[in-house]
Amino acid sequence: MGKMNLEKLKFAGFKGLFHRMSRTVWYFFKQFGIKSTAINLFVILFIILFNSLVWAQGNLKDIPNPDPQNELEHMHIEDGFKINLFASDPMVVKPIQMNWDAQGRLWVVSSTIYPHLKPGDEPHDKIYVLEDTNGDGTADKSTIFADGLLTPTGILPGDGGVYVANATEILFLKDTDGDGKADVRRRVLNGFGTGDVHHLIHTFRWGPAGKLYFNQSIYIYSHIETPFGPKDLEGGGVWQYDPQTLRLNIFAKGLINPWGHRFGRWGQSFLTDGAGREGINYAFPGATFTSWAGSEKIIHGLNPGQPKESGLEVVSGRHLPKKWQGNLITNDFRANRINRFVLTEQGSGYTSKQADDILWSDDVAFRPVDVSVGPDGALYVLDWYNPIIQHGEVDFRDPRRDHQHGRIWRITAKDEPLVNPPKLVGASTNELLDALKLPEKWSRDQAKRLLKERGAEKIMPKLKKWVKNLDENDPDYEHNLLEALWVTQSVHVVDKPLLTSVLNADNHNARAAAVRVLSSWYDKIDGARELLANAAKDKAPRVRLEAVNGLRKYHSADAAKIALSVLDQPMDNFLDFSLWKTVRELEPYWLKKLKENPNYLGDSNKKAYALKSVNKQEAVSMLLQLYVKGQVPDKYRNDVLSSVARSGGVSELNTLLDLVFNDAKYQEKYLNTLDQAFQQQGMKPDNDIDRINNLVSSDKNAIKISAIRLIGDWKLVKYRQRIIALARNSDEDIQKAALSALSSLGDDQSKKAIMTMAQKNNSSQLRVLAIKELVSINLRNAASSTVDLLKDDIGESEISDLFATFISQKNGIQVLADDLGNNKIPKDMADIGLREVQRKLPSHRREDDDVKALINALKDSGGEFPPERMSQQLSSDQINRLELQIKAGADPVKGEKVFRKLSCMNCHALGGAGGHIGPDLSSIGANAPTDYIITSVLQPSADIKDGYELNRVVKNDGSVLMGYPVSETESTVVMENTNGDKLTIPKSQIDQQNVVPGSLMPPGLTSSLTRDEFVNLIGYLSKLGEPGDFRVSKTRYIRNWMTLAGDDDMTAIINNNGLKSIAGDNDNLQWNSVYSEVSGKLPLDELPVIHLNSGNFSIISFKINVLSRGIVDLNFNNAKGIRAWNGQESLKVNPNGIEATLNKGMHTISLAVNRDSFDSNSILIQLGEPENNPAQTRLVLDN
Amino acid sequence: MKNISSVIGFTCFFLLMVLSKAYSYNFKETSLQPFQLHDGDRVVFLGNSLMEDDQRYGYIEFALTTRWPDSDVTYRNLGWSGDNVFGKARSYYTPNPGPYKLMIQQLKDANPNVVFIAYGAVESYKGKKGLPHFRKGLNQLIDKIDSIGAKSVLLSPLPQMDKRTSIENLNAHNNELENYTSAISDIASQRNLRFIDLFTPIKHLNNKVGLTTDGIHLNEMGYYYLTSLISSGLDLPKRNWSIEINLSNGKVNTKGAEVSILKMDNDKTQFQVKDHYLPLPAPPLTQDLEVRLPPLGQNFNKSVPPFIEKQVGDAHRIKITGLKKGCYSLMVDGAQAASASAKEWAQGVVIHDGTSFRQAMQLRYKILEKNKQFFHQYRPLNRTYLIGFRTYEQGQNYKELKELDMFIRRLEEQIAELRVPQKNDYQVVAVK
Repeated sequence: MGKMNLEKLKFAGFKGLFHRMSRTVWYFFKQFGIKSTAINLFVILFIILFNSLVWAQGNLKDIPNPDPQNELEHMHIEDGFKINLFASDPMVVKPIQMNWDAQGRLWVVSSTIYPHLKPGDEPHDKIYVLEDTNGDGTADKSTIFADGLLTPTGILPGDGGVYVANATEILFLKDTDGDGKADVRRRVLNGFGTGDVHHLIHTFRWGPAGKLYFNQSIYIYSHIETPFGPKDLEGGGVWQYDPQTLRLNIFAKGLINPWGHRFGRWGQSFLTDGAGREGINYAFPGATFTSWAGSEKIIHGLNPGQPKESGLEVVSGRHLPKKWQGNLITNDFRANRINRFVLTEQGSGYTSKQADDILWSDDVAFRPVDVSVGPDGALYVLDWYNPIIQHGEVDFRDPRRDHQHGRIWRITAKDEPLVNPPKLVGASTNELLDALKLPEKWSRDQAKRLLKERGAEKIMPKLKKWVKNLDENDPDYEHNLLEALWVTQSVHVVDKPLLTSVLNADNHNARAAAVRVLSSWYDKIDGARELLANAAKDKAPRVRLEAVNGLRKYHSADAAKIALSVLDQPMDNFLDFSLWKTVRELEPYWLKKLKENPNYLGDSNKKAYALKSVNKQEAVSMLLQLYVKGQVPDKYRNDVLSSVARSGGVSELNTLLDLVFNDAKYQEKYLNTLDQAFQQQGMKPDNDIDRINNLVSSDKNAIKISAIRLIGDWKLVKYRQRIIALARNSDEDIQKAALSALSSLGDDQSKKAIMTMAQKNNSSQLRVLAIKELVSINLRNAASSTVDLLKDDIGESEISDLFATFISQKNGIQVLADDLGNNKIPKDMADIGLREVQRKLPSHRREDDDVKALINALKDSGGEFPPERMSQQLSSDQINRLELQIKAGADPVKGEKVFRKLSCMNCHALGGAGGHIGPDLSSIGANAPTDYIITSVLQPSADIKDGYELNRVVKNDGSVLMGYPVSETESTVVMENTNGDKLTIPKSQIDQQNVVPGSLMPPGLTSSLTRDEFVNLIGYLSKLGEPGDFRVSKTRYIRNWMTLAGDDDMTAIINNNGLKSIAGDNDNLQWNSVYSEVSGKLPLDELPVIHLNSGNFSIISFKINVLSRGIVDLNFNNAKGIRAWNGQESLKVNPNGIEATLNKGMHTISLAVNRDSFDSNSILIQLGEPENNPAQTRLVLDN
Repeated sequence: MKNISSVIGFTCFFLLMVLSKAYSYNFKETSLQPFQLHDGDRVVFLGNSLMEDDQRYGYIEFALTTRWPDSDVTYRNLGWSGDNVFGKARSYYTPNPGPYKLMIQQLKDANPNVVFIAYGAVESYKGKKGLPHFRKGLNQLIDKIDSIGAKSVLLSPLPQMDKRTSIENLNAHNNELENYTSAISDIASQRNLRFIDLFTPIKHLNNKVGLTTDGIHLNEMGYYYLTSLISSGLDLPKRNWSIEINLSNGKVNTKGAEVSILKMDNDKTQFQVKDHYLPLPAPPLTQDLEVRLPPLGQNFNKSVPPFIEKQVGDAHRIKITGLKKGCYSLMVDGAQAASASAKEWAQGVVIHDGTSFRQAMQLRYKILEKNKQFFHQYRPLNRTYLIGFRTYEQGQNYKELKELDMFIRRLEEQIAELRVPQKNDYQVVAVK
C-alpha cells in the first residue's frame, strides 16, 4: 500500500517537496537499517504533517538549499561516469563563461551585478582564474584577475592577456608585472548594443585559424567603427574578429539567443540557441538562421522541436568514451540537464540526433550554461546556480535571484585514465608543432595559439620542415597538414604549396576546410578562382558548399557562373541557401552579362536558378520567357510564379494572363499569381484584360472565384452587375469573393450594392458577409447594419464573426460601441458580444476607452460576461495558496486533458509540434517557478518571452492585424496570427507597424474552468520538462498530425469514392491539425469518427521528410485495423507498423483507423532511428 | 610690488587675448562672436565615437569646464559609436521611437544651449555619392538644434592614421574624409557657425604615432592633444603661465597667473600663485595601451612626446635668475614639486606637479565619474525593459534611473568647487 500511495503522491505533484523534505528523514533511517517500505510510510506521514505546516506559511518559496553537497545529491549521472565539485563559491561566484589558457588555468567571467547595476554603485564584476595545482581534480587556487567590470559576459585568454566582453566594449586585459592581476586595460572594440543584458556579446571562442569569434543575441543592435569602415549588426549573429589585422566581419546571422558555439575537428561551426527551438545549428560563412529580423531564406537547425540549449562542446580526447568522439554536448539549462547529440553527415551538412542525457537534476537552481573539455580530458560544466533564470519576466530586484553562488562541476568517466596534458608554455616550437598531432582538441588549440603568438618569423622555417617530415602513412596525416595550414593562416603567411596539398587531400573534411582557407586568401593567391572552380565540382557536397561561400567574395559575373555549376550535382538545403545567397549578392555583375549573352550562365536550369533568386523586374522578365519556352524545370515552377508576383511588371503579367488561357493545367496557379501581383505590388496586366470575364462561367469553383477576385482587383466596373448577381449566389465562397470584388471595384454603385445587401430583407448570411466588407468602406453604416442584424435572430457563430470583424478594424470597436449605445439589442446577443470581448481582445486592450465603451453598451442591453468559474484576479496570497494546493494535489494527467480541451496546442508547441504563436512549453515546468506559470496563464501580458513580441499592423484600408512577424522581404512582411495562419502583407499596404505591449494569448482563457481543473492544468504545466512522464522524449514520435473532419460532407465524399480517396492531395477534404500528448500518444477519443458504409473510421495523416532514399521504419503501438497510404500509393501494414522504401523528399502518410477493430485508446508511432535505417529521415513539425 | 606684477601679468594676458582674437578674425573673415559660455549653460557633445570616447578621458569637457571657473556650466556627452547625422547607431530592437527620433529626444532631454557636433567619419565610407545625403542630414540636425534654442559648433572628422591598411587605401579614405571636412566647413560658413577643423592640423602632423589605438580611435594622448586643437579652434588662449623672478634686481615678470611675491631671498623665495585656469595634466606615455589613470596623489608621467608638448604648450614655467650656485627645490604648499640647479632655474624650469595639478586631476576624476553615472541613465543597460517596449515587465525599476539624477547632481557640485583655481604657496628653497 505504501508503495502505491507513494507513487500516487509523487505523481500528484509532490516530487519536489517530497525530495527536499524526505531526504533528511531517509538518511536518518538508513543509518539504522530500517526497510524502505517503512521509511516510505514514515515519509508520507511526515509530509502530511509537514504539509499543514507549509500551509501556515503563506509566503514560503521554494529556494533550494545552496550547499553544493545538496546540489550534488540531486544530480543523476549517466552510468559509467562520476561528477565532482571542481570549484564553488567563494572561489568562483556567479560564473557566466569560461575558457582555458595554455597553462591549464580556467578563466571565468562572473557577474554579481546581473541583471542590473544598482543606482550609484560602481561596477564591480570580476574575472576569476582557477587552478588545480596538485592535479586532484579540484581547484585549489583562485585569483581575482580583474575587478570593476560591468556585467562581463565573455572571456578568452590569448595574446598574452585576456579578451573580455564588457557591456558596450571588448577589453584586452593584461598582467605586465606578474602579480596575477591585470594592470593594463585596452579597449579593442566598442559600440555593442546593451538593450538587454542577457543578450550582450558573449560566447568568445578562438577559431581554428586564430580569429576571435563571438556572438550577440536578438535585442542587441551593434554599430562598430573599424579602420575598414563601420560594421553594423542589428539582431542575433556571430562576429569574427582578427586582433592583428583589426578586421571585423559578420560570420553568420540570426538566431534568438545563441549562447553556444564550437568548432569541430575540421573547423565546422555548430551553434546552440538558448531561446530558439531547433537544437544544434550548423553554420558556415554567410549562414542565416531564424530571427525576427527576417530574411527571405534561412537555414534551419538540425533538431527541430528540441530544447533550448546554452553552451556547447565537441567531444575529443582519450579520456571520454570512444563512441562519444565528435558528439556535441550542451545544456538544457531550463530543465537542469546536460544533453548529448550525435551528428551524421548529410549532404553538405549534418543530421543530429539526441542521445541519452549525461546528467539531470531536480534541483531548480542547477543552471549549466557552459561546458568544456578540460586539459585532463574531463568535462567541465559551468553552473550559474540560480533558481530564477527569467531575465525580463521576473523583477530585476526579486530577492529570489541568487547573487552569491556559483559552481564548476567536473565529469569524468569511471575507470578511464585521465589525459596527461602536454607542457606547452615554454615548450620549443617543434614540441608545439608535435602537439598538433594530439587527439585532444584542447592541446591542439592551445599549441596553435602559442605558435601564433610566437609570430611568423620564429615558427615558419620550423613549420615547413615539420610538414615535410610528416608521416604520410599516419591515418591523421591529412589532419596534421590541415592544422599546419591553419597555423600559417593565423600568422598571415600564405603558403600555397601547403594549401594545395590539403586541397588535394583524400579526406573530404580536409578539402572542405582547405577551401575555406583558400576563400580567405582569394585575393592573395594566383589562380584562386580556378581552385574554387575545381572545388565547386568536388564529389563531396560540403567541399562544394565551401566553394560557393568563397565565390561570394569575388565581385564578378564569372564567380556566379562557377557557383552555379554545383547545380550539376545533387543539391540540399544548405547548398541551396548558399548558392541562393551567392547568386543574389553577385547579381549586379552577372545580370548585365546575361543580358548580353543569354547563355552566359550555362544551361537553362542554371539560368532559371539564378533568375529566380533575385527580386528584379528584368530578371523576372527573362525568367518568364524561359518558362514560356518550357525551359524551366518543373520543380522551380512555384518559385517562378512567386518571383512574378513579387517583382513582375506589366509585360510579365500580360504573359501570365496569356498563360491562363494557353496552359490550362496550371490555370489556377497563374490566376493566383495575378492576384498576388496585385496584392503585393498593385500591379496588373493591360493586354485584353476583359477576357478574364469568360472565366467567371468556369465550372470549377476555384477558377470562378479567382476570376471574380481579379475583376475586383483590376477594377473592371463594367461587370459590376454580374458580380452583384454572384453575391446572391448560394455558394458562400462565391458570395464572399463577389462581395470582396465589389469592395475592390470601389465605385459608388458597388459600395451602394454592398450597403443594400447588408440591410434587411436579405438572407442573414448575405448580410453578415456584406457587413464584413462594409467595415472598411463605411464603418458607421456597417455598425448600424450590424445593430439591425443583432435585433433579428441570427446564428451564434455569425454573431461571433461580426464582433471579430469590428474588433480587428481600426476604430471599429468605438464606432460599434457608439451605435450600440443608442440602440438596445436582445440580451442573448449582448451576452455573446461580451463573450467575444473576453475571448478575442488581448488583455492590454481591456483598459482602453473604446473597449470600455463597448462593454458598457453591451451591458446596457442586459449583457453579462460569462460567469467566471476560476477567478482570474488573484492576490499574491491567493496565488501562494493556489501554488501549495497545486503542489499538494494537482493531477497532471487530468491537467493534460484540460490543456488539450482548451486547444492550447494551437498556439503552444510541445516537442516542436503545435502552434508557434506562443512559446514552446516542453520544459516550462522545469524552467519556471509555479507562481510564474500561474501568473502567465491568468495575465498573459505580464511576462513575454523574447521573440514573442506582438506586432500591430494597420493596413491602408484601416484593418488591423495582430500577430508575430515571421519573416520579411523587400516588399512584404509575413505575420502569424492566433489561428497559426501565416499572412503575407505587402509593405505598400502597411500604414503603421508597431511592437505593442501584450500577448496574443487572450486573458480569461481559463475563466470557464473549475478550480480543480485549473489546479490540474497548472500541475500539468509545472510538470512539463521534469524527469518522468511529462518530459518530451528524445524518441522520434510522430507528434504533428492532420485529421479529417467527421461531418456529413466528408462521409459523403468517402462513401462515393472509396476509402483510398483520402490518400494524396484531395482538395475537397477538410483536414484539421491535431497534436500528440507529451508522451507522443494521440488519444483516439479526440479524433472525429466518420461513419462509412464499410464501418467507422478515424482518418489521420502526417508528414516525414526523407533526406536520403532507403527503408523507412514506422513503429506502431497497435496496427490492428489500420490501412495506410504514402501519397496515393497503398502501403503494407504489418502487426508492428510499416516498413517501406521511400524516395528522397517529403511524404504524406495517411492512415485509416477502423474504430471497430482498433483496440487501443491511443495511437503511438515512432519513426525509426537513422542508425538502424538505410534512409535518413527527419520529423516534420511544421505544417 | 605684487600688485604691479599681477597687473602686468593681466595686461600681457589681456593683450595677448585681444591680439590673438584680432589675428584669427582677420584670417577667418567671419562675423562670429567670441566663444563664451555663461552661467547656467548646458553644453552637449553629439557625434560618433570621437565624442563618445571622451567620456573615458574627460579632456574636452575638462578643457571647457576650467575655462569659465566662475560660471556654472554643465555638460552632457551624447556621443555614440558608429553614429551618423541620422542617429543610425541609436537603434534598438523596437521600431519606436526609431534611432533619429531617439537622438532628438536625447538632445531635447539634455536641454542644451551649445551643441558640439562631430559627425562625418562614419559617413565618409560612403564616399562622394554619400555627400548630398550627409549635407542634408547635417543641415536638418542643425535646424533641429536651432529650433530648441541651442547654438551648434561643428567639428570635422579626424584623418585616418593607420599603417595596417595599404597606403593607397589610407590615402583614398583620407581624401573622402577631407571632402566631408569641406562639406562641414561649408555648412558652417553658410550658417555662420563656428567650425573647428581637426582634420588639417592632424593631417599635417609629422608624427602621428601614439595618438590612436587603431588609426581611427584617439587614445588618451590623442585626446590630450585634441583639446589644444579645440581650444585654439574656439580662439581660447593657451593656459600656460610663466613667472620670471630676478633676484638681483627684484624684478618680477608674470604671464597667465595672479602672482604675489612674499619673500625674495637666495635661500628662500616665497610667492603665492593663483592660476587663471587649472592646468591640463598630461597623460601617461603609452603607445597602444590605455593604462588606467594613476591613483590620486601619485606623480604623473612627465614624458609627453615633445611634438605634442609643443603643440599643447600648457606648461607652467618658473625662471629665477640670480641664484647662487647650488641645488634648489620648488615646494608647492609644502610638497616638493621640482628640483633643479641654479643654472637650470636661470634658464627656466617647466613644472608638472603641485597642488593645482592635483586639483586638476581630481576634477578630471569627478568629470569621468559624472559621465559614467549619466551614461547609466541615458543609455542604460536593459533599456528594452526599463524604457523600451517591455516596460510593463521592469517599468517599476525605471525609478532607479531617476535616482541617478541625485548622484549626477552631487558630482556636479563637487566639480563646481574643484574647477576654481586656488591660491597656492610656492617656495624655492636651497637644498642643504
